[in-house]
Amino acid sequence: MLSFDYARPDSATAAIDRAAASLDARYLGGGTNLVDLMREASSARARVIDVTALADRDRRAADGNILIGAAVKNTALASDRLCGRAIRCWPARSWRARARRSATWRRWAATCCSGRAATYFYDDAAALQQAGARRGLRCARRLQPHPRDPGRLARLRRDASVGHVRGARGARRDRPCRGPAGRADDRVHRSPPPARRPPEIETVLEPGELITASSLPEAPVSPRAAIARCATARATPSRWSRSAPRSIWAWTANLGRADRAGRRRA
Amino acid sequence: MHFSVNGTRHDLDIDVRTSLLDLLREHLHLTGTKKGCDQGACGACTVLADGERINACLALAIQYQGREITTIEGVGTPDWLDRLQAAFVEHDGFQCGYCTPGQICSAIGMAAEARRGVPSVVTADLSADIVDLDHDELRERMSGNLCRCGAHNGIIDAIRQIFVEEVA
Repeated sequence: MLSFDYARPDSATAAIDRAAASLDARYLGGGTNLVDLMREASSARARVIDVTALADRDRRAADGNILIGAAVKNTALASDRLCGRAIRCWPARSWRARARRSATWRRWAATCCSGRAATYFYDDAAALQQAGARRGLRCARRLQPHPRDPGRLARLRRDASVGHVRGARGARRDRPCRGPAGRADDRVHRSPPPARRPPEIETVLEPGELITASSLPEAPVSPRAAIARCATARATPSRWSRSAPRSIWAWTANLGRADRAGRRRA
Repeated sequence: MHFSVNGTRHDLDIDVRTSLLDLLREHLHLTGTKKGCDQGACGACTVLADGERINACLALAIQYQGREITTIEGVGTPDWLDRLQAAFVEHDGFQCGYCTPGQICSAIGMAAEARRGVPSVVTADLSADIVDLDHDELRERMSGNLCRCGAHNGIIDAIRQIFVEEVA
């Protein structure tokens, strides 16, 4: 592993400032295999900014939405009591929070990190496929993990949550990033035209931008729509896929029971 | 840098690139924690940080300054086995033993998660305060720890004895 400068700021602003000071900085949030990729020298970075100590770990209601700080861990989110019901109304979000890789990995994965291992960086052939054959092998060699890793914002594409992103060109305020339902000018996955798009850049996040939070509406439009989103979220094959449908349906049933119980209490 | 491992404070000057696993094995000579895949896939390096299980191979040591790290050496000793370790022996929960320290640390962290009501992907009742650790729950929650000898049945039996049957 090549040497790097390590910092552990306690605020998003400090983290963004540090990232802006280096062209070769990378956020370390947990839930990715960045450390291993750095060990393999396929993702050597001059500066690593550990964002696991960011102060914003809140899960709080705001304007009818549930705001989830980016440093909240997946396990904490899945077991959260404060906004548990709202999150459970979103099967895709909750299922992902509980099913991404192993329980050990999930515990330290921050909700706004990808929670995945980018395995194609270990394999030239897979990297070449990822890069696109038209760019040839040199491109595969050049392929690096990038802050625009699509997995970081995959949840935004799959349910109605909104990401809060800060740091583009020194901006001090959050800007929203939405899924495909959002306006054209703030979509996360508004990629440049393929002919001009470097293969490693897969979202519209600027280098150095930091996801500070995501927010969810308190309830989905309808349970059926939520289940459809959940089915989309299962696109990634995993060893848990066999058990997922039963869990989702049982969960939806529980949701209905919780609603009925709430009405009875009221 | 200051580290607290198994209740003992260590002041070390180590390279920023040192993983938590290498800190434990190479600098503190606590070789009970094993290096398997070194990529976060096998779980042999599982240790407890403030009671929560982590893969030590994917953690930079510098990230865990000031946190209380517990390794298998802090769980029990050959003369004073922890009751979970004794259950592993009783139920043949290992063959070569390489994954066993990680399995035991992971089981301790897993039981604490279940007591806190942390759901897994197979949990049917998400509103329960305490999770019922049935067969599927145990296997799902321990799925981050691989055993290439295939001692999973004994591992599950040992964990069930300590964290399910004795509690009941």
